[in-house]
Amino acid sequence: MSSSLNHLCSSIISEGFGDIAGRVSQVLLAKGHTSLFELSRLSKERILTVKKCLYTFIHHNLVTFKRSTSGTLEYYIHTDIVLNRILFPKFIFTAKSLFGDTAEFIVEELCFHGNLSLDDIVKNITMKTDAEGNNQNIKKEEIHPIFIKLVSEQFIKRFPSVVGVEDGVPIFSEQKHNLYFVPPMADSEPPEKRQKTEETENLVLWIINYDRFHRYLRDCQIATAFERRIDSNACEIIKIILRISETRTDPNCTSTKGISMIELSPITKKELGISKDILTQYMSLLVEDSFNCVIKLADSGEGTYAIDLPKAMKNLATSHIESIIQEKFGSKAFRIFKVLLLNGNLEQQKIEDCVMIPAKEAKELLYRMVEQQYVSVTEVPKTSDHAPRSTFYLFSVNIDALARKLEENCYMILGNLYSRRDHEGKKSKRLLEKQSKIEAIALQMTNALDPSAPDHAQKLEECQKEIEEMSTVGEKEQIERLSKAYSQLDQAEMQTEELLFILRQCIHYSIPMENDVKSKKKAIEVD
Amino acid sequence: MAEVSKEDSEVVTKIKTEPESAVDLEARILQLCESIPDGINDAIIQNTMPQCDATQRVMAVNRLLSMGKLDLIKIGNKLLYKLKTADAASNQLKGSDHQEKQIYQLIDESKNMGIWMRDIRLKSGLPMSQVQKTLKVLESKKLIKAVNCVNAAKKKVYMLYDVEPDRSLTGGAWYSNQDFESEFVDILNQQCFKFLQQKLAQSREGDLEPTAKRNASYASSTEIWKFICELGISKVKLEVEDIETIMNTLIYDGKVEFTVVPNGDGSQLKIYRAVVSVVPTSGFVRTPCGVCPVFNDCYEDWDISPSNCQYMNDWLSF
Repeated sequence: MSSSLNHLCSSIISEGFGDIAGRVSQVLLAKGHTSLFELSRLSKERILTVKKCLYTFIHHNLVTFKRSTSGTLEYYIHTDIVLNRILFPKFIFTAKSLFGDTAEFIVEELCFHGNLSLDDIVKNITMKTDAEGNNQNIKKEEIHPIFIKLVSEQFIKRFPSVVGVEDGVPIFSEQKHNLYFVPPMADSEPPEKRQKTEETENLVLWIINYDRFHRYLRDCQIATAFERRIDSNACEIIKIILRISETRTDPNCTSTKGISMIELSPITKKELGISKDILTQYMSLLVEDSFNCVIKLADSGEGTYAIDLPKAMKNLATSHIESIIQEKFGSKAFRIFKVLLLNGNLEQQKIEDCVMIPAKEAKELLYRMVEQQYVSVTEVPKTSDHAPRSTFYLFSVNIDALARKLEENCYMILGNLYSRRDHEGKKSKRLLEKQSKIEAIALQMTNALDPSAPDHAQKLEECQKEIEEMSTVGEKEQIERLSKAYSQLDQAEMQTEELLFILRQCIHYSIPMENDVKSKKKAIEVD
Repeated sequence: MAEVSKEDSEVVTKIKTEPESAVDLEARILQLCESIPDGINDAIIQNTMPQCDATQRVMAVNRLLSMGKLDLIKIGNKLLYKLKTADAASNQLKGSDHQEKQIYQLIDESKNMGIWMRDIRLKSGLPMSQVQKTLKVLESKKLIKAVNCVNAAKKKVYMLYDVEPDRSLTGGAWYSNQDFESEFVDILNQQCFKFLQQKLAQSREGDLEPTAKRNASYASSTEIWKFICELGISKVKLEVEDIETIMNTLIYDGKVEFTVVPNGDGSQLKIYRAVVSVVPTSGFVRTPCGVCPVFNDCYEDWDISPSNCQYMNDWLSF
């Protein structure tokens, strides 16, 4: 874990759960496995406070615990789950765009509370809609089917239930088969069974299945890439292939299961109105495209196609890195970078010949990229003394290493953005407090007015005037500037998050997966 | 010439033949030289004309040499006779000494690639000062010229005065007086891309099938070459290969991709098309941190920190 990642994680936690939680998480992040007493000692908080923090963290699945060999109970914080918190807005938006407003509420509740039982979700949602006072009250009957849909699409999964206690530490069930099983709705059961099912239903806790959301976001990224390269139809075809393969493919597999034209063509015809002939053309275009991640597996079933996910993510990450080079060093440097990317190891002379840039300028640009570690140099000495005159210096680009470097940079940038926002908030704390007070007063005043009174409109105007006079022109300007800055920070955060997501996926796939190795071993054994 | 007779006397064979007229023999030797342009040695003359003896041959060859119709070249230990080409250069070389002729010969052999002074010295075996002096004399006579090499600024090569230097020496169309013309390359780069972009836009407008759409966006290097020629932006005559080098830079810019298709006459045709980048400008660089020069020195509560960052202040317009 790097210091920038730790800083970012603690910033995320202090934003979500307050400063005390932030301090406790700092210790957890720095120390790794830590016991309760150590936590309290290092964070200089009272045991009870630390306990409360840990309770919250565990509730949000950020922290796990186990008994160490020396017998103390140790807590461990998972950075990758903490990082998911920055993707929450995306998760909520995904749920809304896929399944509508009700799903949005469900996912939002789970994001806010970590894990919840279905009953609590329903209660919270109905309470919320009631409080907002709008007419679209959502009933339990409406929530339930959407909830089941979310679960069956694996966006939500069960939180492992406690099966026993050993040594004062609860043991969680590890059964995987009913992760996505929703107990039937209480009302539909016969009365004598009702009591029992309600009980179990309340016991089952649900959490967001982060991996599934990640996969969905990843698929969107791949499809958008094709939209830019070919057209919207190609994008939709890719989306359909990824959607079909989602349920079939093992989440840990690197490439999707093959899909034949016979399966694909009725769906595309129905959803996009594309005839089979055109679809065949699209498929060949997709396979030939230099984005290079759609593979034709076989000719069976009039052509079976699959998507190579690691390659897709690597290509996406490469494009992002290229774009960064272009912005940071200029388009000429980008040309040098691309020459290296396409040709592998090259000597300086050869690079200068390829790029058609004056030798002096090319050298300067190349060395600047070497200096900032975007291009690496390999020494190939002719003699054992590494004399510079008789040594070849080969320049090259390593995308995997660059992805890691930029991932690190993303953590730092996000950390900086969080710090800055925090700083802005603290700087104008008084102003913000005043503003919220004014808003509260305004709301009270308008509520106190009687809408049926004859001079209602006039009174309302008076009220508004009075409220307006409460803050000075300068203050108003400051508030406006602050909100502008906040939205700019938010936007930058979102864009950096997107890059971070792609880089993390790319790195995730660049590590050979256990399952893959296992399945290969198995295949060899079978043979 | 004494050398010749000495050598000849070693290979003398006693064959009794009818005495032939000396003029006839000379004509036949010249004929032989003409048929073998690489030069002939004494043995060849002897074999083709066994009827004449050594003294006759020596006399005939000596007469030809003195008349300037034959050249005597020493390669290793062997002597070769070569037909003298009756060009202007040889006329100008008249009156120059042996060294000048030797160096001129070396430079002539190097053709349009030129020869380095060091190589002249090594091959001729003459001392440096002599070589330099001779080269100066030849240069002043406008028999040879010195050409600066593009890829090594200080390297000078010599070649005959009227020879056009090779592209690898001058750098082709992209160099004028040893200077790389980056503006010229940039303009060509832009124009080529513009052409392909227009093709792409046209192909997208039409209501075509996807494959046809893509194929319509391709243009061959010859097409692009014609477009550039018709634009008339280049004063230098460009070849199709030159355009292909320009297209390579566009490929490295990530704006164009290329593929090879079989041509009608069995050859391969390179075709190019403009492409759109897969991702829009990365969000990373839209924050000041993404392009910050002091990014690595920035920490909370340090002299450089996100809270007091001037770049951030400007960006958030405080």
